Amino acid sequence: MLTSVAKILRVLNSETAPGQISLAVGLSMIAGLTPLVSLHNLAVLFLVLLLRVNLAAFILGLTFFTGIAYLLDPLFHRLGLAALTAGSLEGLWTSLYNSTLWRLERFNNSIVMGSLLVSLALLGPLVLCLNWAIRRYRVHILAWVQKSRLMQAFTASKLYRAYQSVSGWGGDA
Amino acid sequence: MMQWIRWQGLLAFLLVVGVLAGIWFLVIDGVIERAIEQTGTKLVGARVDLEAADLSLFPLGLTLTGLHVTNPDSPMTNAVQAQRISFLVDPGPLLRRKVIIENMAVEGVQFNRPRATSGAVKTKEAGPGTDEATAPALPFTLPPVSVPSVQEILQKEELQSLKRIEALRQEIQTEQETWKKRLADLPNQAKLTEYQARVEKLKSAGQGGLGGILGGANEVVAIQKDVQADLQQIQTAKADLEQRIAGLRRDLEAVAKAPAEDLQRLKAKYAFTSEGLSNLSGTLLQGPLREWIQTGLHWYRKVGPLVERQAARMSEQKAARVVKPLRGKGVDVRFPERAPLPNFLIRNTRVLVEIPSGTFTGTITNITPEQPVLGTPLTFAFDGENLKGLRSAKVSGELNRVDPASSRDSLRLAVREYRVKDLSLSSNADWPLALKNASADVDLDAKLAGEAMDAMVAADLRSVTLTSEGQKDPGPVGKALKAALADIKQTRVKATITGTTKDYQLQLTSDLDRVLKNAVGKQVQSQLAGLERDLRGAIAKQVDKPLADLKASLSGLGGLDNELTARTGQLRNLLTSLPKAQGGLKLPF
Repeated sequence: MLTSVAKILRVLNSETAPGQISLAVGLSMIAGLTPLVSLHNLAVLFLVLLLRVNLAAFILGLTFFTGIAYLLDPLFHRLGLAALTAGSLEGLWTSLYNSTLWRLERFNNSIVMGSLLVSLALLGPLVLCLNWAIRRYRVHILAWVQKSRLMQAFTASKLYRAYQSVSGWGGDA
Repeated sequence: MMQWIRWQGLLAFLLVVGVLAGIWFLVIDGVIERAIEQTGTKLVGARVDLEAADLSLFPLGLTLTGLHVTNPDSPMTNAVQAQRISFLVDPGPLLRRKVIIENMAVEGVQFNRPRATSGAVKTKEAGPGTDEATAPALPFTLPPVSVPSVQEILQKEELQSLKRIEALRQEIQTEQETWKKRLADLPNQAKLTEYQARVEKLKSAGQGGLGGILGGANEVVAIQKDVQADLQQIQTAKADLEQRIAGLRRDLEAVAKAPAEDLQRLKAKYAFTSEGLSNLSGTLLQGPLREWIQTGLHWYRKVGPLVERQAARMSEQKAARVVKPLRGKGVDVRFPERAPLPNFLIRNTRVLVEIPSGTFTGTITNITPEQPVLGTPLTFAFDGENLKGLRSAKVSGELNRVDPASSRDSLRLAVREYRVKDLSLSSNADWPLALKNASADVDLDAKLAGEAMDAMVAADLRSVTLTSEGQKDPGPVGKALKAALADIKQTRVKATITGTTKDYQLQLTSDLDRVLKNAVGKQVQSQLAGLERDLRGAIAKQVDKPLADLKASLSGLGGLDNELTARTGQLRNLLTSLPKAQGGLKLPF
């Protein structure tokens, strides 16, 4: 737990642009809340690797959102089922259902649909809010955190040094 | 913008996808093998084992080797096993999660092969076979071929006529006691004497002036009323008694017929009757036929659910809408498809079946659990030529669940020159019978609409050898039957099966009955006549006296009726002898 907190602080304290962190968290939300083995998550993985987003933030976010997805599944199911059985959307779903790509996506599953709708709806607000929050953090709290014992212990650890060696993947450059 | 792109990430993406695909390809054979074993075991209720599964990507296909399906009712036996199953999968529909197989080849199919280890699986609930209908009990047994003596019969049997006579005797006795009590309560001689005394008193009072005359008129009216009330009471009782006597007479007439009924019952039980002979073929052949029907229905019930899972799945989906979904499962909502296809379909399956007699070849078309989606039923056709023990056999039919609410299935079978050997027809110790040899042509045409069954079986048997060995004391009829059966060289049997799969009726007819009837008819007639004569005499000896006593006791009730008639007459005479009290003062005294 402490290591995770330290990792988060390390990411926040880095030179990485706030957009790279917040987009990584946003994408991790999609991959984490929706069933992992889904076609859209292949696209998320593609974007995470191709775009210069922070990988550590993505992995941490994925762990967090996968955990809370277990709790939110009943909600996703109800929401997805309501969307899939809405009379006004029947034509849209029927045409998607007859498309091979969308059938591979399993959009007609209540949990896939519910979780995808929720994560897509939250993506924009989450990225913008995180951007704002990271900026505020760096201005007002960063100096205090860097002096904290926890952060100093973490930066002295082997794990941190190992992370530093591959930090180019973190989107700092 | 370019500062947001990480080109080495593209390479990493391709690497990750490649590694995942490689892992998938390495483990997919094992995954398929386990999936088939687990799903098959769940469906069958006993272990399904697969030696190997081999997936090929170009072209996309699968080869299964060594498929063994345990018989759930006999875990040390494989109900069916196949050496090799190979097929190609249409990749387009597969992307839409539909397994469409145009052609499948199934080789080395064998039935009822022994297993090295038990294939039983632990189940929480009883298997699906527990609610299967058991074979309806045989409606009758073999008729006796030897007849015991009349003394032996009457020692073993209780005559119904004696029981009925005794019951009626007790009823008459009870009635007599009841009516004697009732008669004692009715107006009797003492009451009549009392009325006469009142009349005498009236006469003497009438000579006492005008007051006496007026008082006498009132007394006359009072006596008339009293006598009429008593008369009414006696007449009502008399009508009741007569009605009861009439009922008892009817009972007596019925009881008088009881000895004849006893005679018929004992004749039917201890001697051949024309009915017994006319059902002989049914008695002999229905045992084996019922066993075959039960076996056929057992497998029909096993196969049925495999082609009608659509309805069950739809109901599961409906149920899933209201229950809390499992993690990551959810509910798949289905929408209309432009070219609907079932999720699983094998259009053509070429099957090679190896049975002890040789090899059968055949095709099965449209194997799918979702016939309503496909709109076409499953059909099958198998044939085998020059097999060991039979010249040819053809089986064809269809399982039609296109409309789940009204399934229509059919089966046709044509077997030529099937050599029957040592088929036990009766294991009855009194009359063991076996079909030692025969050459049979069998035709079956069966239709099932829902649970309703309508089937016809016709069998021509030639070169027949019937044996009846180990028979204890066959008697003259048994000997005649044995000789007649030994002479039978050919026969034709027809069976019709109607009703439902759980409760069906089997009717068998055969020219065997005519042959046997002719052969043993004289023996039967002579035996029957002797038995009837002796039985009638013996029954009469036991029944005649109690029956005569019964008639006498009923006539005792008639005596009570006479008594009531006498009392009625006496009261009427008294009424007519009373002086007239109306129309002025015309008193007779």
